[in-house]
Parts: sequence; structure tokens; C-alpha cells
Amino acid sequence: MTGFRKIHVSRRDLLFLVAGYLFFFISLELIYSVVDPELRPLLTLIIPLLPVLLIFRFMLRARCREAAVREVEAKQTRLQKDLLRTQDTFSRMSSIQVELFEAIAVASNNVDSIARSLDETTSLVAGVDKTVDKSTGTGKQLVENVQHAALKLDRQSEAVTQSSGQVQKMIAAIEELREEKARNHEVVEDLVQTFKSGQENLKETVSSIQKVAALSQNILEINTIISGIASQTNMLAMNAAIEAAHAGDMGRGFSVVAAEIRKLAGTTALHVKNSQETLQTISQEIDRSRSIAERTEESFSRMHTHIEDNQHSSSSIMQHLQDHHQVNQTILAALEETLDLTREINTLAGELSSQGEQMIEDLRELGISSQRSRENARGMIQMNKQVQVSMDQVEERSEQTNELNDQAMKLLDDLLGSIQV
Amino acid sequence: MVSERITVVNPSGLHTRPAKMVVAEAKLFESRITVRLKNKEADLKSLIKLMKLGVCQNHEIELCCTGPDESRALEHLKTFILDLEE
Repeated sequence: MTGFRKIHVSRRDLLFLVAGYLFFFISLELIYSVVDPELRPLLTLIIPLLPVLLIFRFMLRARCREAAVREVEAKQTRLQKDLLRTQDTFSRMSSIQVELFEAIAVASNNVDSIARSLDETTSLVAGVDKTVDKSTGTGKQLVENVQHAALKLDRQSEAVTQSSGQVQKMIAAIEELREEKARNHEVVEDLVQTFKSGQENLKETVSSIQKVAALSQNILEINTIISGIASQTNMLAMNAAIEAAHAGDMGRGFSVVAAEIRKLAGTTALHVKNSQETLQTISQEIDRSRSIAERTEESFSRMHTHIEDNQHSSSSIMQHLQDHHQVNQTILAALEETLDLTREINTLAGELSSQGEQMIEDLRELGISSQRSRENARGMIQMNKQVQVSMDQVEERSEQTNELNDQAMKLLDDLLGSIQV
Repeated sequence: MVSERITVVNPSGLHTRPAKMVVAEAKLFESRITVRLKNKEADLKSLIKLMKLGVCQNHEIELCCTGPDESRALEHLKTFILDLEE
């Protein structure tokens, strides 16, 4: 008997069935009493079928109920499993929410940090802008100064070139002067030597004059002696004449000799006198010559001193000229070096000027970039503020979600408890 | 308003699970409850705001309660935080 299943009828259903059956028979009598008698045979045929139908209906209902109960039990089991899975899901969701909260907290803190960094960046960019403006001004001033310096360097270069030429001329003049002075120095040296020789000659002359004076004095003394001899000879001649006179004729010849001797004595005395006068004149001239020679010697001495001073002065001038020459050479070398350096500086100034102009151009571009950076930073600040607002909303929604999750978990707990009961 | 300074002693500070527990405890009270760390302040009933504070072990925090059950809330939360072990 396929398809036939045993029907489990509960006691309550049976009670209901019996009660219904009794109620049917009681009701049947009541129906007969109120229905038309012609219809009673029909009712007699139909009504007995009613309990059978009722029984079938009860059996059918019992089967349906059993099936429903099984279905409910299955659904309850499934619901319980689903609720447990849901509880597990909510639990995992809760864990994920905690992680989400951590991430939100970190993200929110990062957003706040970004906001602070952006503010700082904005102020830094503003500082960069100011620095760029200031640097641009300084750069322009620098370029102007460098160009001004380059012009001055050109003038300095010309001046140094002129100075160098002048110094070269001065060196040539000093060299000529030094050579002239060297020749002059040689002349002075010769003069000194000649002067020394002359001075020695003069000394010898003075000495010779002094000797001549001494000899002249000797001659005067000799003249005095000769004068005395002449006087004595005259006396002797007189005595001889007197004696010759006493001798008479015998003494005549002697008297002539005496007279001649007397004449000779007189002539001698006259010559001696003349000679003495001449000698005295000579002596006076010698004295005068000596005096002149001595004064000349003094003059020579002073001249010697002056010549020596002049010689020293000449040597000193020579040394100074030499020093001056060396200094001039050093100055010339320094000027040439200065000229080279000036040219190099001029070249560098040109490069510096072009670099400065390039720097100004770079600064201008930097200023534009800075301006863009500032605008970007402002845009980012606005976006970050929106992000902060969104983060606040996310925080709020997350908190609400968390609360709903907690409530859901509590409801699930309650539901599971009620199902298990 | 009542307030009190306490030093957080549990190893992980007020992070994740301990913070969630503290917030759950704070929500039991009607009073407005805030926590201050240095110059930052957060609502103790908001888990994210509490986590944003980044309270770690040995941090000194100030609990402030304002409301009808402020004293009870302060005492309870102080004890709860100090008794955290995680």
C-alpha cells in the first residue's frame, strides 16, 4: 500500500471527533424538525455520509497538523542554526567594527595630523613666498650691484693699465737716474780720490812752506852773521886803514886793500841789508802763504767733509734708488697681478650677473610654483576639512552601527533563549 | 561637575577591547563623561573618540562627570579603569 501513511491522531482530536459526532446526531434531530419532510429522504442519504467526511476531515487535518509541526520543527531548527550563524556573524562584525574603529581612530588622527601639516605647509609656503619676494629683490639688487661693480672694474682695469704704464715709465726713469747717479758716483769717487791726493799735496806744500820759512829764518840768521862779519870787516878795514896810515908809504898798499875791504864790507853790508829786507819780505810772503795754505787746508777739510757727506748721500741715494727700483718692480708685478685679477673678477662678475639673472628667473618660477603650492595646499585644506566632516559622520555612524550591533546581539541572545525554551 | 586624575595601569591602556568595555560602562550612566589627556579631550561614551586619544599605560588622565549621577559614575569608572587587567 504505497502512499498510505499511518496517521497519528491525538487524544484531543479524538475527543473533538467524538464530541463532534455526538453534536452531529443531536443536531440531526434538530435539523429534521425544521427541514421540509420531502427533503428528509435526501438528508437521510447525505447526512450519514457527514460523519465519514468529518472523520476524513479530521484525519486530514491531523496529517496536515503533523506535517506542519514537523515543518515548524525543521524551520525552528533551521532558524536556530541561522540565528546562531547570525550571532556568530554579528560577533565577527563586532570584532571587525572594533578593528574598523581602530582604523577610523588612526585615520581620523591622521586626518587631524594632515590638517596640522597642511596648516604648517601653508604657513611655510607663505614664508617661502616672502623669502622668494625678498630674495628676488635682493637678487635684482645683487645683479645691479654686480653690473655696477663690473663697470667699476672696467674703469679699475683701465686705471690699473694706466698705472702700470706709468710705473713702467717711472721704473725706466729711475733706472736712467740710477745709471746717471752711478756715473756721478764714480765721478765723486774720482773727485774724492783727487781731493785726497790734492789734500796730501797741500799738506806737503804747507810742510814745504814751513821748511822754507825755517830755511828763510836760517838765512836771516846767516845774514845777521854776515852783517856782523861785514861790520867787523869794516871795523877791521878801518883799523887796517888806520894802521896803514900809521905805516905811511909802506902801508899805502895796505891802505888800498883796507879801503877795498872796507868798500867790500860796505857793499856786503848793503847787500846783506838788501838781502835781509828781501828775506824779510820773503818771510812775510811765506807767512802769508802758510796762512793761506792753512786756511786752504781748513777749506779742504771742510770740503772733504762735504764731499764725504755727499758721497754718503750719493751712496744712500743709490741705495734708495735701488730700493725704489725694487719696490717699483714689486708694484708693477702687483699691478699686473691686480690687472689679471681684475680681468678675472670682471669675467666672474659677468658670469655672476648672468647667474643672478637666471636666479631671478628661477625665483620667479619658484614664486609661481609656491603660489600654486599654496593654492593646492588651500584646496587640500578644504578637501581635508570635508574629509574631517566625513570622518566625523563615519565616526557617528560607526558608533550608531556599534550600538545597533550590540542591540541586535542582545536581541539575538533573547531570541535564541526564547527558541531554546 | 566632579573630576579626578588617575594613572592608567593596565598594559594595553585604553585601546580596543578595554576601551570598548570602558565605553560600555560609561553608557550605563546618564551623566556626561569626558576624559582628558594632556590638552586633548574626548567623550568617554564614544569608542572612536576615546581610541583617538591614544591612552597608553602610565598615562595620567582626568575623568570629568557632569550630571545627576556624576559622583557614582566617577567612582565606578575610576575603579573600573584601575581594575582593568588586559
